Amino acid sequence: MAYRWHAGYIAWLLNRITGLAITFYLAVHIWVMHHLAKGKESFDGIMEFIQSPVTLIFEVLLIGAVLYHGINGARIMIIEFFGGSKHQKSLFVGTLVVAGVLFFWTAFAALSHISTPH
Amino acid sequence: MERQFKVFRYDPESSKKPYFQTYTVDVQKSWTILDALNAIKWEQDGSLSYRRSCRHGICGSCAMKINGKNELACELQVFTLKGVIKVEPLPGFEVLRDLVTDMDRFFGHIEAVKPWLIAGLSPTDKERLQSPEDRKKLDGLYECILCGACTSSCPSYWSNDDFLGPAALLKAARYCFDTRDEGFHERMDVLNSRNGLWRCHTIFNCVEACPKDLNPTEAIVRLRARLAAEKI
Ligand code: FES
Repeated sequence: MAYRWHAGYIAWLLNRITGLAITFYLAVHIWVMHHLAKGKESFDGIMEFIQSPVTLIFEVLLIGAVLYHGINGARIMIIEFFGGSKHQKSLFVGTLVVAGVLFFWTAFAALSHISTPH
Repeated sequence: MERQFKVFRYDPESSKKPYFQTYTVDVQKSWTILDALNAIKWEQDGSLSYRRSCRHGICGSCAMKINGKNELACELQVFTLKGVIKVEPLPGFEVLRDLVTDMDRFFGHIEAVKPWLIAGLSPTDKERLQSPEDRKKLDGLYECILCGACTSSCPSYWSNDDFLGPAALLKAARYCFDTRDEGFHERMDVLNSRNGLWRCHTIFNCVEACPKDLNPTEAIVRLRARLAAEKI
């Protein structure tokens, strides 16, 4: 069931989606890291496997998810504790702008870092 | 001017599944959606069911989903909408027939927050006076007409209809923030329960839906803050 699309609804939906994505990432991260316990070879193997362009795309998406989720968390705190509910729409726009700018900046940094290996 | 209305139909006594029926109505410029529904019922199809009473936006009977948004049929004017107008019952509530939904659960939740002044601790045989400043603190809380538009739009309520919902919580705030009221502790258990204040995820559908431009979310976060302060 859906209600009309508007700022608060989209903000919540994005928060859910990014939250689930981050939780999923955490599981994958722990799985990757557990190779450490299996010794150098195993860890090097998995590291090599994840150095692919596809993982890079996912990493960049992860940056976006974390940025949105974190900054929207601040928006929610402003709503909860500082009477922000009357301005929730502009707060959402602010969230998108700040998260967007930081995202493009960090994504650009991450991608250019990969394309110019040391 | 002729306008078309695509109206949700459901008869629990027939084996037919819910469907939409389109009516063409000759509307006047000043007409509201309720006027158009009345024209349908009185002149075209007496079997169409919907609730209405005051037709002045005060009894809260005629809330329904019009072109995807919860509205009061008696306040929304036809000329403000374009194209075919889709009229459905309030979402999230069980449909009894056509546009009539079961409001029992909704009113049960309102009752659960004890929507009356609890001032029994300090008995008096006089009127309990309130200063204009204190009365002003209730602005934005007391105007609710119990139409159900907000609770019906709430995704937290859709996923669990035991959730008290924005209307009941706004009603709770109306009394909890009344300077004459002493019932906060009495209401605390139900507000602090699994299905109370904490189930709101600040989605703001209720604010979008409220035909009286109230802000149930603000009432909820204020109650949460008070509850937290009380617990600490
Ligand atoms: S008929 Fe009373 S609010 Fe619409």
